[in-house]
Amino acid sequence: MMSEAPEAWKKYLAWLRLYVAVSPESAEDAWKVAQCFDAVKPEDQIPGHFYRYAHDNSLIAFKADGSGQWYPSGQMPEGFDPARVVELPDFLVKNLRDELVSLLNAALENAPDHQQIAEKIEIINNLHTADRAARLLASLLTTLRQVAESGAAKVEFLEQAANQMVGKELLAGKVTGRDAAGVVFMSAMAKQLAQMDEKTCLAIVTRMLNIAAGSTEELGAAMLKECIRLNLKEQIAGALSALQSTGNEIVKQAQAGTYPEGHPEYCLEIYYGGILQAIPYLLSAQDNYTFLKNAPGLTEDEREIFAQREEATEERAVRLRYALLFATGDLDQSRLRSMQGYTRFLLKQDRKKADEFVRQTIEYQFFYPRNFVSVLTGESA
Amino acid sequence: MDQVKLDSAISSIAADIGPDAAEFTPPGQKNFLVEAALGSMAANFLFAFFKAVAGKAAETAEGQIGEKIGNTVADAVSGLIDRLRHKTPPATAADVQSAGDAAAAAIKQQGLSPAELQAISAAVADAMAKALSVRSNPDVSQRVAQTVSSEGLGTLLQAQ
Repeated sequence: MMSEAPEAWKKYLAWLRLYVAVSPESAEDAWKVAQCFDAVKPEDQIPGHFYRYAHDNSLIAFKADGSGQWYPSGQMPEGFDPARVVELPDFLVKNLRDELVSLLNAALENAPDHQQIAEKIEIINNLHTADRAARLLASLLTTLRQVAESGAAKVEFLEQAANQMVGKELLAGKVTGRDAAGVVFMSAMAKQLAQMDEKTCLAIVTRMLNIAAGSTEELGAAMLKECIRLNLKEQIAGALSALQSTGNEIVKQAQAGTYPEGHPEYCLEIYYGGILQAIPYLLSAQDNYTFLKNAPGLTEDEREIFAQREEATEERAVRLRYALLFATGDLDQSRLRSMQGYTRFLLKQDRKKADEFVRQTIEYQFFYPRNFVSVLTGESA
Repeated sequence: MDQVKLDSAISSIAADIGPDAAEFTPPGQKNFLVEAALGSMAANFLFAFFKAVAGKAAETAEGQIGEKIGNTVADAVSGLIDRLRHKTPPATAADVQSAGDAAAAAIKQQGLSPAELQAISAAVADAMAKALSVRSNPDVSQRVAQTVSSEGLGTLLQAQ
């Protein structure tokens, strides 16, 4: 598909990763903000400015130390110069879904695999709907019901479903990060329950089959609620910790920047694909920690620990998603070239600053895999 | 102790903490990956490592080395947790330097071999990882503790 236009295919994949990473709604928001910010003059894009969103009047500060702060009320904190406020243009941006469908429609004209592209268009057009999420859940539950009545069998099926959803369907844009987050949570939770006691695991999973939920995410939340009700704090904490570790491990593997022998051109595609696959695990851990920290019966210390872990997973998930957004603006590698230029300029001035910049770009912001250190610096690894 | 080597160790620890900074800071605080903030956090880790090694080296002289982790290590690690939670002020560059010097002097005074120093470092890393993982992800805690131990050990070996 799109074999005659690899650039269009690359663009489609990069946009699709952003679109499905969390949910179509959050992708559209990020897409719009990024387009608005890109329209701001370069001299106003540097730290030390406030940005006002036209649609809700809220303010975001981009402080001199590189940190940021959102002011939803739009009220500027005292002591700041109103002249530093930059109004973000509220021009009409074509939404990401329409952009994706346009790309596919363009491919449709000359494609031999007409049917396949038409299916992709249909999937993209339906991905944001509640009906689609409900159908996905129904299909999962139908198979889960057919699995043998044992804790081990249910655990094995949920694990396979989670791997299939993250490793294939998410990458293909057939499900969203939120869909996958629900399934990876159920899988991790069932595993913890089975380790404690298979009968309890089977009983809880069986109860899940009869709960009225509208999506895999909602069913995951119901499972968490049930485990909280049964006071299975230790198993919940174990499941969330495992999800976080899995997400971190996927990122670590992606950071190695591997590619098939002789095909370095696939390096970034594989890298961003890895980043995408880590998101459901971190998203799931984050959402469930959010719920858990507000559960009744916790000590203040437990509440604080869960809040701390919620923020840690959120931090990573946000950065990974931002890396996918960054990639959509770097399809022609213009951003990479600009960063190379800046790194080499810094190398001539101050080695320490150059190292800091490369670390920020690769280790903290996840824009590129680790083997891109030498790409940025021009020095052999 | 060579300031350049200390800075380099702090910088490596900061890079390892990187996007996991929020694992070690109290909830509700914004965690931005600003080099200076990560460096300050990394300095707290290295300071605790030096304090723990110095204490453990002294305990070694008193014949207390062995399976049980000494009080001084526990104190150093608990001091780290307090610093990370902003209950006590962060370790300054001078604090790290002075703790590093004290650890190097204690090692020299006790005549510890590199192998013994390595064993102490591993024990400190283990204690640090255990204490950190009460609040933070165990895998991240272990990884960071190992980096702290490896960087700290490197500077101490160079100082001998």
